[in-house]
Amino acid sequence: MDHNRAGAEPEGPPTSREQDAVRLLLLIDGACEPLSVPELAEPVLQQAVGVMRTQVKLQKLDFWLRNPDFLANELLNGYEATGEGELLEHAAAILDSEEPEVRRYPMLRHHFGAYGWLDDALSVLRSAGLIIRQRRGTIDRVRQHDYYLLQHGRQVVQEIIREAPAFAYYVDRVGLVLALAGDRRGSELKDMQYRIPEYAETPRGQEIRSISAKARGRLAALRQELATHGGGQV
Amino acid sequence: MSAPQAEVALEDRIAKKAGVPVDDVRDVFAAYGLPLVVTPARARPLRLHRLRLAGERTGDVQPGPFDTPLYFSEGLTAFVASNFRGKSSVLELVTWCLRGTWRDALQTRVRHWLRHVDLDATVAGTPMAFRLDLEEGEIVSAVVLTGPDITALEEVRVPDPRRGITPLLRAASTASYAEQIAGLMLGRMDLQPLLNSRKETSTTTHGWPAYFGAIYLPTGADKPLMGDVMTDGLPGRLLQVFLDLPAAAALTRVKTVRDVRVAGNKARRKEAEAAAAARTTERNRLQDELGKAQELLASLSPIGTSDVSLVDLAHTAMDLAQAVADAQDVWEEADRTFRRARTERQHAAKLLNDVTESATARLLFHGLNPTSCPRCDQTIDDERRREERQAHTCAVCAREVVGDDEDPQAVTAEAETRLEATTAAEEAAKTEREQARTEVRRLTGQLEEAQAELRRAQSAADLPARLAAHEAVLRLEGALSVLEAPQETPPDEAEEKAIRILDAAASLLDGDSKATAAKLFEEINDEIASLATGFGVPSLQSVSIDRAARLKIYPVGSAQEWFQGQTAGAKLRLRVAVAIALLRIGRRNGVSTHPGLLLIDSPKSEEMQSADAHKLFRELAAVAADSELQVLLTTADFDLANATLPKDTIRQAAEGAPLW
Repeated sequence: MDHNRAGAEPEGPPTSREQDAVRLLLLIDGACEPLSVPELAEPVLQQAVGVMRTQVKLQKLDFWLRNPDFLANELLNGYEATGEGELLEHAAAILDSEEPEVRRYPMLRHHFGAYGWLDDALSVLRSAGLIIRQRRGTIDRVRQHDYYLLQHGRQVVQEIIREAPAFAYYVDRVGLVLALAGDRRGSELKDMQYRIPEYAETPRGQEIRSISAKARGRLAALRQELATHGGGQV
Repeated sequence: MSAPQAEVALEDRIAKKAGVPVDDVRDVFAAYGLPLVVTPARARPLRLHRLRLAGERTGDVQPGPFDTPLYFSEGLTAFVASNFRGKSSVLELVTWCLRGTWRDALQTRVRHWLRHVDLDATVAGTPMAFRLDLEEGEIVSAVVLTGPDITALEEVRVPDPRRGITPLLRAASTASYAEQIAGLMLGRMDLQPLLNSRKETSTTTHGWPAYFGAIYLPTGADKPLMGDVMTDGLPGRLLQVFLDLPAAAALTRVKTVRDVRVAGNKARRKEAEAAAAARTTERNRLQDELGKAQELLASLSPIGTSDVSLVDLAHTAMDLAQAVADAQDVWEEADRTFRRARTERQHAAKLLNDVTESATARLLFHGLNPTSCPRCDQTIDDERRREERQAHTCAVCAREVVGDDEDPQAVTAEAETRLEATTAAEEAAKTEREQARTEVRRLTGQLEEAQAELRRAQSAADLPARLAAHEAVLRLEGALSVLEAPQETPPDEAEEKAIRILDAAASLLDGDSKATAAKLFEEINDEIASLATGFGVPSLQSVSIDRAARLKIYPVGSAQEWFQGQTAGAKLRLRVAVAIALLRIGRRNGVSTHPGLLLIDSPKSEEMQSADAHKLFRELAAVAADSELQVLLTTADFDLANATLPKDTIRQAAEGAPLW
C-alpha cells in the first residue's frame, strides 16, 4: 500500500490502484451501452454485457468524479443555462461541504485534457475478469479504446453497491456525473471542460488546480441574486 | 345764507361734526386754499356793445374790402339775413373774442377774409375792448383793453394811458390768446375752474370754455340741458354755479380734495402693508438663519470633557490602538493555526477515505481469482491457480506470493486516530481563534470609544470656529431685535383727521346746498314750466329740475318724460326757459349769477313749427326787455323776425346780401 502521504503535498499517483479500479468499474458500469451486432458475434465478447466507448470519455467523466469543484462549477453552468433548481441544489451541496478539499484527486493536463494513468487499475479489472479492453484502429495508431463490461463485472458492481458502504460516495457521484454528461461524446465533454480558463490554461503535464474558491464565489453571487430578485431559497 | 354769521359759523360747524379743534379745520382748508368763508358770488353780467369786422371779402357775394360795425341792443338783437350771409359768423366771432376759441361752425373761408375783429363789451362791470388782428385766419396780434367807459373804448385799438385806456392782456398767436382769455375771464367773472376727481387719483379741470357753454346755447339734438359738455357732471355744475347755490363751488372743491386724499391714503396704506409683508419675510429669513447658526454652535460645543486632559485621552487612545494591533496579530496567528489544523484534518479525512477505500477494494479484488492476464489477455489456467493456492506462486506472474506485510485494519485504525487527533487540534485552534477574535472586538470597541471621546475633547480645540458661530448667533439675534415684528400699520392720524374734516365739510356744504336748492328749485320749476309753455312747448303740466341739471317733464295727461327724450325744437325752448328762469329766480333771491347773455343761432332750423317760432321770438323779445337779459338771435326768416320782433332789435341785411 502506498498511503504514507498524509500531511505532505501529494506527489506521484494520488490514488491507489484498487481505489481507481473500483471507481472506474462503477463508471464503466454506469456509462456502458449495448454491444453492436458485430461485437455480439465476437467469441471473446461472449460474456460482455455492455460497452463504454473511448478513453477520452472515460478520462473526462473520471475528471468530474475526482474533482468535485469542477463538477459543481459545471452544475452551476447548467443551472445558469437552464434555470433548473436541482442543478443549483447539487452544486450547493458540494460547495457547502468539504468535498472539494477531501474528495479531490487532481489530474494532469494532457494533450486532450485531463489525464490519469489508468492502465494499472484497468489491468486489475481485466485480470479479475470484470472487463475487457479493446483497442481499435491500426497497429500504428490506436483510434479508440472500448471498455467492455463482463457479466462478472456487473455482479461485482452490484456486490459493491450492496455490501461496500465505503464506495457509496462513488456510487452516488457516478450517477450525478453521468446525468450531467448526458449523451455527450468524449470530445464534447472535453470541449466543456476546456471552457474553464483554469483548466485550459494549465501547462501540459502539470496538475490542474482547484477552482473551489471561484465556484463558491459563483454560488454566493447566484444566491444573492435570488435573494434580491425573489425566487426560492437555496 | 350769505349772512356773515352763518359763514363764520361754517368752520365751527365742520369742527364740531368732525370732532376736531377749529384750528385743525383751518389748517386743512388753508393747506388746499379752500375758502372757509363762503362769500356770495358777485354778479357777473356780460353785455355786448359793438362788434366791428374789417377785412376783404372774396368770392361771388360782394367781394371787396369791408369794415362793418354792428351794435347790439340791451335786450334782444336779431341778425336777419339769408343763409350763408354772415349771421352765424357774428355769433362765432363774438365767441372767439369772449371764449378765446371759435367753434367748428366758424368757416375757415370767413376767417381768412378778416383783418380786424373788434368787440366792445362789459364784463362783470368792467368795460373791455377785444382787438384781434388776423392774417390767414389766425391771430397775429391781440390785445384786450380796458378804459373808463364802454363808449371811450370805441374806435380805440391800442392802449392810450392818457385816456385811461390800458391793456389787460396781449397775445401774438391764436393759442396764446385762447389761453390768456380763459384766465382773464375766469378772474373777471369770479369763477373757479370746475374741478373733478377722476378715478379718485387725479383731477380734471374744466375752465372758462366750459362755462361759456351756458351762454351759447347748443342746438344739437342730443346736447345736455346746460353747457355743451356732458361728462363729469358738468351740466349740474353749471346749473349750480349760475344759480349760486350756497358754496356750490366750494363743495365741489372740497369733495374733489377729499376724494384725492382718500385715494392717496388708501395707496399709502397699501404701500405700508407691502412693506410690512417684506419685513415679515426678512424676519422669517433671519429667524431661519439664526436657527441654523444656533445648531452649528451647539454642535461645536464641548460636552463635559473639559476636565479630562487631551494628552491623557490621546495616550489612552494610542495604547488601545497598540493593544488592538497586538490582538489583531494574535488573532491572525490563531487564524493561521486554525487553517493549518483544518487542512491537516482534511488531509486526515482524505487519507482515511483512501485507506478505507483501498483496503476495501483490495479485499474485494483479493477475493477474486485472476481469470486473465492483463498483459496478454489470455485466460489463467487452472494449473496456475492451483499453484497459487498450494505453492503460493502468483497465478499471473508465477512469483512467490509473500502475503500482505501490512495489516489493513492497523492502517485504517492509524488513519482514524490521525483524523481524530487533527480534528481535536482543529477544534482547539478554532476555539483559540474565537477567543482572539473576541478580544480584538473588545479592544476595538474600547478604542472606538476612546477615539470618540478624543474627538469630543478635540472640539474644545475648535474654539475659533465656536467663537465665529457664537458671533453669528449674536449678530443674527441683534438683526432680529432691530427688525421688530411688523405691527398693524398705525393709521395716519393727521391724515385720517384731515379726511374726517373734509368729509364733515362736504357733508355740511352738501346739506346747506340741498336745503336751499330744494326751495329755489320749486320756484325755478314753476318758472321753467311757465316760460316753456310761453315758448310753445306743448301740453306742459310741470317740470322738475334737480341739482344735476336733469330735467323731468310732466306733459298733461301722459307719463313723465326726460329732457333727453324731447325733440330738438323743444330742447332749445327748454334751454332758453331754464336760462331765463335761472336769471329771474336768481335775481328774485339775490343769487343771480348767470351772465345774462344768450347766443341762439337759427332757432327756427331746429325742427320748429312756424307757430312755435313765432311764440318763441315774441316771448324772447318780451323777456329780454324786462329781464336784464341780452339775447343774440339769428334767423334767415325775414318775415318771422319782422312779424314778431320790435324794429329796433333787428339787424337786417337785404335779401341775398351779406350782413357785414
